[in-house]
Amino acid sequence: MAEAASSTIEKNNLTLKSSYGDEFVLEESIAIQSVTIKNMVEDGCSSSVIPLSKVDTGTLIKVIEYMKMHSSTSSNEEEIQNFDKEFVRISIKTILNILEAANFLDIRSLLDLCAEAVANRIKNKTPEVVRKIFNITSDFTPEEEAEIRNETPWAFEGDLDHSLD
Amino acid sequence: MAPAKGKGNVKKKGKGSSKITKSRAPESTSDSYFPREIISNILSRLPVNILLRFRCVCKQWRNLISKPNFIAAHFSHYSALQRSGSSILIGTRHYESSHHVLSLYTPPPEPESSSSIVELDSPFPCFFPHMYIVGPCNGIVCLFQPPWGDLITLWNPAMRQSRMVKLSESEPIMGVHCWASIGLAFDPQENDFLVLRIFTAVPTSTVPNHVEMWSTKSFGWKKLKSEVVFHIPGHTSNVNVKGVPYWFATVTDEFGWRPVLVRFDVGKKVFEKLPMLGTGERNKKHQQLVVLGDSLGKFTFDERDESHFDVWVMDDEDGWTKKYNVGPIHGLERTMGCLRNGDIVAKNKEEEVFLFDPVTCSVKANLSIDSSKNGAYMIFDYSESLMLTGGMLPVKKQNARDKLARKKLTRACVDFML
Repeated sequence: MAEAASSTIEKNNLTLKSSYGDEFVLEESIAIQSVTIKNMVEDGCSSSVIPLSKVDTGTLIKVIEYMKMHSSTSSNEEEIQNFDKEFVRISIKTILNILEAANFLDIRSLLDLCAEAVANRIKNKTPEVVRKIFNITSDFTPEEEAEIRNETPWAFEGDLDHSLD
Repeated sequence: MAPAKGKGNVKKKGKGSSKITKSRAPESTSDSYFPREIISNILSRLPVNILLRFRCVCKQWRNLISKPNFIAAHFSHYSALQRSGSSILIGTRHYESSHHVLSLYTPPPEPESSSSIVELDSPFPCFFPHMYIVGPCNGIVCLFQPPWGDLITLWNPAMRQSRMVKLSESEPIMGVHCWASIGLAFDPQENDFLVLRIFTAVPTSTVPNHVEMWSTKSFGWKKLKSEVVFHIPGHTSNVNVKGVPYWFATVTDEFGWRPVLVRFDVGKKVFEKLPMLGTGERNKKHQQLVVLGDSLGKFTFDERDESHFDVWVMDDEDGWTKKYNVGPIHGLERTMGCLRNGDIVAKNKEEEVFLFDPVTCSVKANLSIDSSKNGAYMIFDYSESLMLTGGMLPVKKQNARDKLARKKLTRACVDFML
Protein backbone atom coordinates (compact mmCIF):
# COMPACT_ATOMS: atom_id res chain seq x y z
CA MET A 1 0.00 0.00 0.00
CA ALA A 2 2.82 2.38 0.96
CA GLU A 3 4.51 1.73 -2.39
CA ALA A 4 1.35 2.33 -4.32
CA ALA A 5 0.84 5.65 -2.57
CA SER A 6 4.35 6.95 -3.20
CA SER A 7 4.38 5.86 -6.81
CA THR A 8 1.52 8.13 -7.75
CA ILE A 9 2.70 11.34 -9.37
CA GLU A 10 1.03 13.62 -6.89
CA LYS A 11 1.51 12.83 -3.27
CA ASN A 12 -1.84 12.29 -1.68
CA ASN A 13 -2.44 14.27 1.44
CA LEU A 14 -4.89 13.53 4.21
CA THR A 15 -6.30 15.89 6.78
CA LEU A 16 -6.61 14.64 10.34
CA LYS A 17 -8.87 16.58 12.70
CA SER A 18 -8.37 16.42 16.46
CA SER A 19 -11.16 16.44 19.03
CA TYR A 20 -10.49 20.16 19.52
CA GLY A 21 -11.11 20.79 15.83
CA ASP A 22 -7.47 21.42 14.89
CA GLU A 23 -6.59 20.11 11.45
CA PHE A 24 -3.30 18.54 10.40
CA VAL A 25 -2.32 17.75 6.83
CA LEU A 26 -0.25 14.62 6.44
CA GLU A 27 1.01 12.56 3.52
CA GLU A 28 -1.15 9.52 3.00
CA SER A 29 1.90 7.24 2.90
CA ILE A 30 2.75 8.37 6.43
CA ALA A 31 -0.77 8.31 7.81
CA ILE A 32 -1.51 4.77 6.72
CA GLN A 33 0.79 3.39 9.40
CA SER A 34 -2.49 3.61 11.24
CA VAL A 35 -4.51 0.58 10.21
CA THR A 36 -7.69 2.49 11.04
CA ILE A 37 -6.78 5.31 8.61
CA LYS A 38 -5.55 2.79 6.03
CA ASN A 39 -8.93 1.07 6.11
CA MET A 40 -10.67 4.44 5.71
CA VAL A 41 -8.49 5.28 2.72
CA GLU A 42 -9.20 1.90 1.15
CA ASP A 43 -12.91 2.42 1.71
CA GLY A 44 -12.64 5.68 -0.20
CA CYS A 45 -13.03 8.20 2.61
CA SER A 46 -9.62 9.75 2.00
CA SER A 47 -10.77 12.84 0.10
CA SER A 48 -12.53 14.28 3.10
CA VAL A 49 -11.19 15.29 6.47
CA ILE A 50 -10.71 12.39 8.90
CA PRO A 51 -12.22 13.35 12.24
CA LEU A 52 -10.49 11.80 15.26
CA SER A 53 -13.00 12.63 17.96
CA LYS A 54 -11.11 10.58 20.56
CA VAL A 55 -7.71 12.22 20.05
CA ASP A 56 -6.93 15.67 21.46
CA THR A 57 -4.60 18.11 19.70
CA GLY A 58 -1.55 17.56 21.94
CA THR A 59 -1.79 13.81 21.57
CA LEU A 60 -2.32 14.01 17.82
CA ILE A 61 0.81 16.15 17.45
CA LYS A 62 2.83 13.46 19.25
CA VAL A 63 1.29 10.66 17.17
CA ILE A 64 2.08 12.51 13.92
CA GLU A 65 5.63 13.16 15.14
CA TYR A 66 6.00 9.41 15.74
CA MET A 67 4.54 8.42 12.37
CA LYS A 68 6.75 10.90 10.51
CA MET A 69 9.89 9.58 12.18
CA HIS A 70 8.98 5.95 11.60
CA SER A 71 8.19 6.41 7.91
CA SER A 72 11.28 8.48 7.22
CA THR A 73 13.67 6.62 4.97
CA SER A 74 16.65 8.80 5.86
CA SER A 75 16.89 7.71 9.51
CA ASN A 76 18.71 4.53 10.47
CA GLU A 77 17.78 1.99 13.10
CA GLU A 78 19.87 3.60 15.80
CA GLU A 79 18.29 7.01 15.22
CA ILE A 80 14.84 5.49 15.46
CA GLN A 81 15.78 3.70 18.68
CA ASN A 82 17.03 6.94 20.20
CA PHE A 83 13.93 8.75 18.99
CA ASP A 84 11.72 6.11 20.66
CA LYS A 85 13.66 6.42 23.90
CA GLU A 86 13.22 10.20 23.95
CA PHE A 87 9.64 9.99 22.73
CA VAL A 88 8.41 8.30 25.93
CA ARG A 89 10.31 10.65 28.25
CA ILE A 90 7.05 12.44 29.06
CA SER A 91 4.50 12.19 31.85
CA ILE A 92 2.74 8.84 32.29
CA LYS A 93 -0.61 10.58 31.76
CA THR A 94 0.56 11.79 28.36
CA ILE A 95 1.80 8.32 27.42
CA LEU A 96 -1.57 6.90 28.43
CA ASN A 97 -3.31 9.39 26.13
CA ILE A 98 -1.02 8.35 23.27
CA LEU A 99 -1.70 4.70 24.12
CA GLU A 100 -5.42 5.23 23.78
CA ALA A 101 -4.91 7.04 20.49
CA ALA A 102 -2.55 4.32 19.22
CA ASN A 103 -5.14 1.73 20.20
CA PHE A 104 -7.93 3.60 18.38
CA LEU A 105 -5.76 4.34 15.34
CA ASP A 106 -4.35 0.81 15.44
CA ILE A 107 -0.63 1.60 15.23
CA ARG A 108 0.92 -1.58 16.58
CA SER A 109 4.51 -0.39 17.09
CA LEU A 110 3.41 2.78 18.90
CA LEU A 111 1.07 0.75 21.07
CA ASP A 112 3.93 -1.60 22.03
CA LEU A 113 6.35 1.25 22.67
CA CYS A 114 3.91 3.07 24.98
CA ALA A 115 2.66 -0.08 26.77
CA GLU A 116 6.26 -1.08 27.48
CA ALA A 117 7.06 2.42 28.73
CA VAL A 118 4.04 2.49 31.06
CA ALA A 119 4.84 -1.01 32.37
CA ASN A 120 8.39 0.13 33.12
CA ARG A 121 7.24 3.30 34.83
CA ILE A 122 4.60 1.69 37.09
CA LYS A 123 6.44 -1.48 38.10
CA ASN A 124 7.89 -0.08 41.32
CA LYS A 125 4.81 1.89 42.32
CA THR A 126 2.33 1.29 45.09
CA PRO A 127 -1.23 0.19 44.22
CA GLU A 128 -2.47 3.55 45.55
CA VAL A 129 -0.34 5.49 43.08
CA VAL A 130 -1.29 3.16 40.22
CA ARG A 131 -4.97 3.88 40.96
CA LYS A 132 -4.32 7.62 40.72
CA ILE A 133 -2.42 7.23 37.44
CA PHE A 134 -5.21 5.19 35.85
CA ASN A 135 -7.97 7.22 37.49
CA ILE A 136 -9.31 4.14 39.26
CA THR A 137 -11.28 4.22 42.49
CA SER A 138 -10.75 1.05 44.47
CA ASP A 139 -13.85 -1.10 44.72
CA PHE A 140 -12.42 -3.29 47.47
CA THR A 141 -13.46 -3.01 51.07
CA PRO A 142 -10.50 -2.43 53.41
CA GLU A 143 -10.94 -6.02 54.61
CA GLU A 144 -10.81 -7.41 51.09
CA GLU A 145 -7.72 -5.37 50.29
CA ALA A 146 -6.01 -6.49 53.50
CA GLU A 147 -6.77 -10.08 52.59
CA ILE A 148 -5.13 -9.75 49.17
CA ARG A 149 -2.09 -8.15 50.78
CA ASN A 150 -1.89 -10.98 53.31
CA GLU A 151 -1.95 -13.65 50.61
CA THR A 152 1.40 -12.52 49.21
CA PRO A 153 2.95 -10.08 51.69
CA TRP A 154 6.34 -10.39 49.93
CA ALA A 155 4.90 -8.76 46.81
CA PHE A 156 4.45 -5.56 48.83
CA GLU A 157 7.95 -5.48 50.29
CA GLY A 158 10.90 -3.40 49.19
CA ASP A 159 11.31 0.23 48.25
CA LEU A 160 8.11 1.20 46.54
CA ASP A 161 7.80 4.42 44.62
CA HIS A 162 5.07 6.78 45.83
CA SER A 163 5.53 9.44 43.15
CA LEU A 164 2.85 9.99 40.54
CA ASP A 165 5.26 10.17 37.64
CA MET B 1 -12.91 9.66 27.05
CA ALA B 2 -15.19 10.17 29.98
CA PRO B 3 -13.32 10.07 33.22
CA ALA B 4 -16.29 9.45 35.47
CA LYS B 5 -14.81 9.82 38.87
CA GLY B 6 -16.64 8.13 41.72
CA LYS B 7 -17.65 10.44 44.49
CA GLY B 8 -17.85 9.76 48.15
CA ASN B 9 -15.60 6.76 47.84
CA VAL B 10 -12.86 8.15 49.96
CA LYS B 11 -11.47 5.09 51.57
CA LYS B 12 -9.69 5.22 54.86
CA LYS B 13 -6.70 3.04 55.16
CA GLY B 14 -5.22 1.69 58.32
CA LYS B 15 -6.38 -0.08 61.40
CA GLY B 16 -9.20 2.31 62.24
CA SER B 17 -11.29 1.03 59.38
CA SER B 18 -11.51 -2.50 60.75
CA LYS B 19 -14.14 -1.25 63.20
CA ILE B 20 -16.64 -0.94 60.40
CA THR B 21 -18.12 -4.38 60.16
CA LYS B 22 -20.32 -3.75 57.14
CA SER B 23 -18.07 -1.66 54.97
CA ARG B 24 -19.48 -1.56 51.47
CA ALA B 25 -17.26 -1.76 48.49
CA PRO B 26 -17.59 1.32 46.32
CA GLU B 27 -18.55 0.88 42.69
CA SER B 28 -15.63 0.55 40.37
CA THR B 29 -15.21 3.42 37.99
CA SER B 30 -12.33 2.02 36.04
CA ASP B 31 -14.29 0.32 33.26
CA SER B 32 -15.54 3.52 31.75
CA TYR B 33 -12.12 5.07 31.59
CA PHE B 34 -9.50 2.87 30.04
CA PRO B 35 -9.89 0.19 27.37
CA ARG B 36 -9.43 -3.23 28.91
CA GLU B 37 -7.18 -4.48 26.12
CA ILE B 38 -4.69 -1.70 26.85
CA ILE B 39 -4.60 -2.59 30.56
CA SER B 40 -4.10 -6.22 29.60
CA ASN B 41 -1.29 -5.26 27.19
CA ILE B 42 0.52 -3.23 29.85
CA LEU B 43 0.11 -5.82 32.62
CA SER B 44 1.25 -8.74 30.44
CA ARG B 45 4.71 -7.09 30.37
CA LEU B 46 5.18 -7.17 34.14
CA PRO B 47 6.78 -9.83 36.33
CA VAL B 48 4.66 -12.03 38.58
CA ASN B 49 5.44 -10.37 41.91
CA ILE B 50 4.35 -6.99 40.56
CA LEU B 51 1.10 -8.43 39.21
CA LEU B 52 0.44 -9.94 42.62
CA ARG B 53 0.87 -6.47 44.10
CA PHE B 54 -1.42 -4.92 41.49
CA ARG B 55 -4.18 -7.42 42.24
CA CYS B 56 -5.30 -5.01 44.93
CA VAL B 57 -5.67 -2.02 42.58
CA CYS B 58 -9.31 -2.86 41.83
CA LYS B 59 -11.55 -5.84 41.13
CA GLN B 60 -11.22 -5.50 37.36
CA TRP B 61 -7.44 -5.80 37.62
CA ARG B 62 -7.60 -8.66 40.10
CA ASN B 63 -10.03 -10.59 37.89
CA LEU B 64 -7.96 -9.94 34.78
CA ILE B 65 -4.77 -11.18 36.47
CA SER B 66 -6.43 -14.48 37.42
CA LYS B 67 -8.08 -15.17 34.03
CA PRO B 68 -6.66 -18.23 32.19
CA ASN B 69 -6.48 -16.23 28.93
CA PHE B 70 -4.46 -13.50 30.55
CA ILE B 71 -2.23 -16.01 32.35
CA ALA B 72 -1.43 -17.74 29.05
CA ALA B 73 -0.88 -14.43 27.25
CA HIS B 74 1.31 -13.17 30.07
CA PHE B 75 3.49 -16.28 29.97
CA SER B 76 4.14 -16.06 26.24
CA HIS B 77 4.43 -12.28 26.22
CA TYR B 78 6.59 -11.82 29.29
CA SER B 79 8.97 -14.67 28.46
CA ALA B 80 9.39 -13.32 24.92
CA LEU B 81 10.15 -9.86 26.33
CA GLN B 82 13.06 -10.97 28.49
CA ARG B 83 15.49 -9.06 26.33
CA SER B 84 18.20 -8.66 28.88
CA GLY B 85 18.43 -12.45 29.13
CA SER B 86 16.63 -15.18 30.98
CA SER B 87 16.33 -15.86 34.65
CA ILE B 88 18.09 -19.05 35.70
CA LEU B 89 16.87 -21.53 38.27
CA ILE B 90 19.91 -23.06 39.95
CA GLY B 91 19.66 -26.25 41.96
CA THR B 92 22.79 -27.17 43.91
CA ARG B 93 23.63 -30.11 46.08
CA HIS B 94 26.65 -30.24 48.32
CA TYR B 95 28.58 -33.47 47.71
CA GLU B 96 29.24 -34.20 51.38
CA SER B 97 26.25 -32.91 53.31
CA SER B 98 23.70 -33.52 50.49
CA HIS B 99 22.29 -30.15 51.44
CA HIS B 100 20.35 -28.87 48.45
CA VAL B 101 19.63 -25.27 47.72
CA LEU B 102 17.38 -23.71 45.09
CA SER B 103 18.40 -20.27 43.89
CA LEU B 104 17.29 -17.86 41.23
CA TYR B 105 19.61 -15.77 39.09
CA THR B 106 17.98 -12.63 37.70
CA PRO B 107 19.77 -10.78 34.89
CA PRO B 108 20.38 -7.05 35.24
CA PRO B 109 17.08 -5.28 34.46
CA GLU B 110 18.94 -2.43 32.74
CA PRO B 111 22.40 -2.53 31.18
CA GLU B 112 23.92 -0.41 33.93
CA SER B 113 22.34 -2.25 36.88
CA SER B 114 23.54 -5.49 38.42
CA SER B 115 22.29 -9.05 38.42
CA SER B 116 21.29 -10.94 41.54
CA ILE B 117 21.21 -14.49 42.89
CA VAL B 118 18.75 -15.15 45.70
CA GLU B 119 18.02 -18.35 47.59
CA LEU B 120 14.41 -19.51 47.27
CA ASP B 121 12.30 -21.23 49.90
CA SER B 122 12.30 -24.84 48.78
CA PRO B 123 9.00 -26.71 48.94
CA PHE B 124 10.83 -30.06 48.85
CA PRO B 125 10.94 -31.74 52.26
CA CYS B 126 14.52 -30.96 53.35
CA PHE B 127 14.67 -34.18 55.33
CA PHE B 128 15.23 -36.14 52.14
CA PRO B 129 18.78 -35.69 50.90
CA HIS B 130 18.21 -36.49 47.23
CA MET B 131 16.28 -34.17 45.00
CA TYR B 132 16.11 -33.88 41.24
CA ILE B 133 14.58 -31.07 39.23
CA VAL B 134 12.67 -31.42 35.98
CA GLY B 135 11.05 -28.73 33.87
CA PRO B 136 10.42 -25.90 33.94
CA CYS B 137 7.27 -26.11 31.93
CA ASN B 138 5.11 -22.98 31.67
CA GLY B 139 6.60 -21.64 34.87
CA ILE B 140 6.05 -24.86 36.83
CA VAL B 141 8.95 -26.94 38.12
CA CYS B 142 8.78 -30.55 39.29
CA LEU B 143 10.95 -31.77 42.17
CA PHE B 144 11.27 -35.43 43.09
CA GLN B 145 13.40 -38.05 44.76
CA PRO B 146 15.42 -40.52 42.69
CA PRO B 147 15.70 -43.35 41.82
CA TRP B 148 11.99 -44.24 41.68
CA GLY B 149 10.52 -40.77 41.29
CA ASP B 150 8.63 -40.35 44.50
CA LEU B 151 7.91 -37.26 46.64
CA ILE B 152 6.90 -35.54 43.41
CA THR B 153 6.34 -31.86 44.16
CA LEU B 154 4.98 -29.35 41.66
CA TRP B 155 6.19 -25.85 42.34
CA ASN B 156 5.66 -22.39 40.91
CA PRO B 157 8.72 -20.50 42.21
CA ALA B 158 7.46 -17.04 41.19
CA MET B 159 4.07 -17.54 42.86
CA ARG B 160 5.77 -19.31 45.79
CA GLN B 161 3.17 -22.05 45.75
CA SER B 162 3.50 -25.80 45.55
CA ARG B 163 1.70 -29.09 45.99
CA MET B 164 2.77 -32.68 46.38
CA VAL B 165 1.52 -35.27 43.96
CA LYS B 166 -0.25 -38.28 45.41
CA LEU B 167 1.93 -41.37 45.55
CA SER B 168 1.37 -43.83 42.75
CA GLU B 169 0.49 -47.37 43.71
CA SER B 170 2.62 -48.98 41.01
CA GLU B 171 5.79 -50.64 42.09
CA PRO B 172 8.79 -51.28 39.86
CA ILE B 173 9.69 -54.87 39.10
CA MET B 174 13.14 -55.61 40.40
CA GLY B 175 15.36 -57.10 37.76
CA VAL B 176 13.21 -55.65 34.95
CA HIS B 177 13.17 -51.96 35.80
CA CYS B 178 16.28 -50.10 36.75
CA TRP B 179 14.92 -46.66 37.73
CA ALA B 180 12.22 -44.13 37.03
CA SER B 181 12.63 -41.17 34.71
CA ILE B 182 10.37 -38.19 35.29
CA GLY B 183 9.09 -35.70 32.74
CA LEU B 184 6.74 -32.74 32.95
CA ALA B 185 4.42 -31.81 30.09
CA PHE B 186 1.77 -29.19 29.44
CA ASP B 187 -1.35 -29.79 27.41
CA PRO B 188 -2.44 -26.36 26.11
CA GLN B 189 -5.78 -27.69 24.84
CA GLU B 190 -6.85 -28.86 28.28
CA ASN B 191 -4.76 -26.33 30.23
CA ASP B 192 -3.40 -29.35 32.04
CA PHE B 193 0.00 -30.18 33.54
CA LEU B 194 1.05 -33.80 33.17
CA VAL B 195 3.68 -35.62 35.19
CA LEU B 196 5.14 -38.64 33.41
CA ARG B 197 6.80 -41.41 35.35
CA ILE B 198 8.57 -44.05 33.33
CA PHE B 199 9.93 -47.19 34.94
CA THR B 200 12.64 -47.78 32.41
CA ALA B 201 13.71 -51.29 31.56
CA VAL B 202 17.33 -52.41 31.75
CA PRO B 203 19.29 -51.53 28.56
CA THR B 204 18.85 -54.68 26.48
CA SER B 205 15.38 -55.63 27.72
CA THR B 206 12.54 -56.33 25.29
CA VAL B 207 9.86 -55.54 27.89
CA PRO B 208 8.05 -52.24 27.26
CA ASN B 209 8.53 -49.59 29.92
CA HIS B 210 5.89 -49.07 32.53
CA VAL B 211 4.61 -45.54 31.87
CA GLU B 212 2.15 -43.69 34.03
CA MET B 213 0.78 -40.18 33.89
CA TRP B 214 -0.59 -37.88 36.56
CA SER B 215 -2.75 -34.99 35.43
CA THR B 216 -3.92 -31.84 37.19
CA LYS B 217 -7.40 -32.50 35.79
CA SER B 218 -7.86 -35.96 37.30
CA PHE B 219 -5.45 -35.71 40.27
CA GLY B 220 -4.74 -39.40 39.80
CA TRP B 221 -2.26 -41.72 38.13
CA LYS B 222 -3.16 -43.52 34.95
CA LYS B 223 -1.13 -46.22 33.22
CA LEU B 224 -0.37 -45.38 29.60
CA LYS B 225 -0.09 -47.88 26.82
CA SER B 226 3.52 -48.12 25.84
CA GLU B 227 4.44 -50.34 22.95
CA VAL B 228 7.72 -48.65 22.22
CA VAL B 229 10.63 -50.44 23.86
CA PHE B 230 13.42 -48.09 24.86
CA HIS B 231 15.85 -47.51 27.65
CA ILE B 232 16.26 -44.09 29.24
CA PRO B 233 19.67 -43.51 30.78
CA GLY B 234 18.67 -40.47 32.91
CA HIS B 235 16.38 -39.77 35.85
CA THR B 236 14.72 -36.84 34.09
CA SER B 237 13.74 -35.77 30.61
CA ASN B 238 16.68 -33.91 29.04
CA VAL B 239 14.83 -30.83 27.85
CA ASN B 240 11.35 -29.39 27.65
CA VAL B 241 10.39 -27.50 24.50
CA LYS B 242 7.09 -25.59 24.74
CA GLY B 243 5.60 -28.09 27.17
CA VAL B 244 6.91 -31.20 25.38
CA PRO B 245 9.56 -33.30 27.18
CA TYR B 246 12.40 -34.96 25.22
CA TRP B 247 14.63 -37.79 26.36
CA PHE B 248 17.84 -39.28 25.11
CA ALA B 249 17.12 -43.00 24.90
CA THR B 250 18.50 -46.16 23.40
CA VAL B 251 16.74 -48.99 21.60
CA THR B 252 17.82 -52.54 20.88
CA ASP B 253 16.10 -54.23 17.97
CA GLU B 254 16.93 -56.34 14.92
CA PHE B 255 19.30 -53.59 13.75
CA GLY B 256 21.19 -53.68 17.01
CA TRP B 257 21.67 -51.12 19.73
CA ARG B 258 21.40 -47.42 18.87
CA PRO B 259 20.63 -44.07 20.41
CA VAL B 260 17.29 -42.42 19.65
CA LEU B 261 15.39 -39.37 20.75
CA VAL B 262 12.04 -39.88 22.46
CA ARG B 263 9.36 -37.26 22.95
CA PHE B 264 5.93 -37.31 24.48
CA ASP B 265 3.09 -36.35 22.14
CA VAL B 266 0.95 -34.31 24.50
CA GLY B 267 -2.17 -34.44 22.31
CA LYS B 268 -2.16 -38.19 21.60
CA LYS B 269 -0.57 -39.11 24.94
CA VAL B 270 1.97 -41.45 23.35
CA PHE B 271 5.74 -41.56 23.01
CA GLU B 272 7.36 -40.97 19.66
CA LYS B 273 10.78 -42.10 18.57
CA LEU B 274 12.80 -39.59 16.56
CA PRO B 275 16.04 -40.45 14.82
CA MET B 276 19.18 -39.19 16.48
CA LEU B 277 20.91 -38.21 13.27
CA GLY B 278 24.63 -38.54 13.18
CA THR B 279 26.56 -35.32 13.01
CA GLY B 280 28.56 -36.40 9.99
CA GLU B 281 31.76 -35.70 11.82
CA ARG B 282 33.30 -38.74 13.33
CA ASN B 283 35.09 -37.09 16.21
CA LYS B 284 32.06 -35.10 17.43
CA LYS B 285 30.20 -37.91 19.09
CA HIS B 286 29.32 -36.30 22.36
CA GLN B 287 25.89 -34.63 22.24
CA GLN B 288 23.86 -32.51 24.62
CA LEU B 289 20.21 -31.52 24.16
CA VAL B 290 19.35 -27.86 24.69
CA VAL B 291 16.48 -25.46 24.02
CA LEU B 292 17.19 -22.52 21.72
CA GLY B 293 14.43 -19.98 21.31
CA ASP B 294 11.37 -22.18 20.94
CA SER B 295 13.22 -25.03 19.25
CA LEU B 296 15.00 -28.19 20.21
CA GLY B 297 18.73 -27.84 19.79
CA LYS B 298 21.86 -29.79 20.53
CA PHE B 299 25.54 -29.22 21.09
CA THR B 300 27.98 -31.66 19.58
CA PHE B 301 31.51 -31.91 20.92
CA ASP B 302 34.75 -33.53 20.29
CA GLU B 303 34.92 -35.86 23.26
CA ARG B 304 38.39 -34.73 24.28
CA ASP B 305 37.72 -31.02 24.09
CA GLU B 306 34.61 -29.23 25.28
CA SER B 307 35.87 -25.69 24.79
CA HIS B 308 34.37 -25.50 21.33
CA PHE B 309 31.34 -27.18 19.85
CA ASP B 310 28.70 -27.01 17.13
CA VAL B 311 25.15 -25.85 17.71
CA TRP B 312 22.31 -27.59 15.87
CA VAL B 313 18.60 -26.86 15.75
CA MET B 314 15.86 -29.29 14.84
CA ASP B 315 12.57 -28.64 13.18
CA ASP B 316 9.99 -31.24 12.33
CA GLU B 317 10.27 -30.76 8.59
CA ASP B 318 13.96 -30.30 7.90
CA GLY B 319 15.38 -32.32 10.77
CA TRP B 320 18.71 -31.22 12.24
CA THR B 321 20.53 -28.20 10.80
CA LYS B 322 23.88 -26.94 11.96
CA LYS B 323 23.47 -23.28 12.93
CA TYR B 324 26.82 -22.05 14.18
CA ASN B 325 29.85 -23.06 16.14
CA VAL B 326 31.07 -21.69 19.43
CA GLY B 327 34.50 -21.27 20.88
CA PRO B 328 37.07 -21.97 21.82
CA ILE B 329 36.01 -20.48 25.14
CA HIS B 330 39.12 -20.02 27.22
CA GLY B 331 38.99 -21.73 30.61
CA LEU B 332 35.85 -23.70 29.90
CA GLU B 333 36.04 -27.21 31.28
CA ARG B 334 32.53 -28.58 30.80
CA THR B 335 29.35 -27.10 29.34
CA MET B 336 26.22 -27.57 31.42
CA GLY B 337 23.72 -26.27 28.90
CA CYS B 338 22.50 -23.02 27.53
CA LEU B 339 19.73 -20.47 27.82
CA ARG B 340 17.06 -19.84 25.21
CA ASN B 341 19.02 -16.84 23.92
CA GLY B 342 22.06 -19.05 23.27
CA ASP B 343 24.15 -17.98 26.27
CA ILE B 344 26.25 -20.89 27.51
CA VAL B 345 26.39 -22.12 31.11
CA ALA B 346 29.65 -23.91 31.84
CA LYS B 347 32.10 -24.91 34.55
CA ASN B 348 35.75 -23.92 34.60
CA LYS B 349 38.63 -25.96 35.98
CA GLU B 350 38.01 -24.63 39.49
CA GLU B 351 34.44 -26.00 39.38
CA GLU B 352 32.99 -22.50 39.25
CA VAL B 353 29.90 -22.00 37.15
CA PHE B 354 29.76 -19.18 34.61
CA LEU B 355 27.45 -17.71 32.04
CA PHE B 356 29.26 -17.20 28.73
CA ASP B 357 28.39 -15.08 25.75
CA PRO B 358 28.84 -17.42 22.76
CA VAL B 359 29.61 -14.58 20.34
CA THR B 360 32.32 -12.79 22.29
CA CYS B 361 33.29 -15.96 24.25
CA SER B 362 33.43 -13.78 27.36
CA VAL B 363 32.03 -14.27 30.86
CA LYS B 364 28.66 -12.58 31.44
CA ALA B 365 28.05 -13.63 35.04
CA ASN B 366 29.35 -15.90 37.74
CA LEU B 367 26.60 -18.29 38.80
CA SER B 368 28.51 -20.04 41.57
CA ILE B 369 26.64 -20.49 44.81
CA ASP B 370 29.06 -19.91 47.69
CA SER B 371 27.69 -22.67 49.89
CA SER B 372 27.89 -25.17 47.06
CA LYS B 373 31.53 -25.24 46.23
CA ASN B 374 32.16 -28.91 45.73
CA GLY B 375 28.60 -29.45 44.72
CA ALA B 376 26.48 -30.67 41.87
CA TYR B 377 24.68 -28.05 39.81
CA MET B 378 21.45 -28.20 37.87
CA ILE B 379 20.76 -25.19 35.67
CA PHE B 380 17.44 -24.26 34.06
CA ASP B 381 16.33 -21.37 31.90
CA TYR B 382 13.33 -20.16 33.85
CA SER B 383 10.43 -18.01 32.61
CA GLU B 384 8.01 -17.19 35.34
CA SER B 385 4.26 -17.54 35.02
CA LEU B 386 1.08 -17.03 37.01
CA MET B 387 0.01 -20.62 36.36
CA LEU B 388 -1.07 -22.75 39.27
CA THR B 389 -2.46 -26.23 39.53
CA GLY B 390 -5.35 -27.06 41.81
CA GLY B 391 -4.36 -27.76 45.38
CA MET B 392 -1.26 -25.57 45.42
CA LEU B 393 -0.52 -23.82 48.69
CA PRO B 394 2.01 -21.16 49.71
CA VAL B 395 5.48 -22.59 50.34
CA LYS B 396 6.37 -22.40 54.02
CA LYS B 397 9.86 -21.63 55.19
CA GLN B 398 11.38 -24.88 56.32
CA ASN B 399 12.47 -25.09 59.86
CA ALA B 400 16.18 -24.62 60.43
CA ARG B 401 15.92 -27.29 63.12
CA ASP B 402 14.69 -29.83 60.55
CA LYS B 403 17.63 -29.02 58.32
CA LEU B 404 20.00 -29.52 61.25
CA ALA B 405 18.34 -32.81 62.18
CA ARG B 406 18.74 -34.05 58.61
CA LYS B 407 22.37 -33.04 58.59
CA LYS B 408 22.99 -34.99 61.82
CA LEU B 409 21.15 -38.00 60.49
CA THR B 410 23.14 -37.98 57.24
CA ARG B 411 26.36 -37.79 59.21
CA ALA B 412 25.27 -40.63 61.48
CA CYS B 413 24.45 -42.76 58.43
CA VAL B 414 27.83 -42.05 56.89
CA ASP B 415 29.56 -42.93 60.17
CA PHE B 416 27.56 -46.12 60.43
CA MET B 417 28.45 -47.18 56.90
CA LEU B 418 32.12 -46.57 57.56
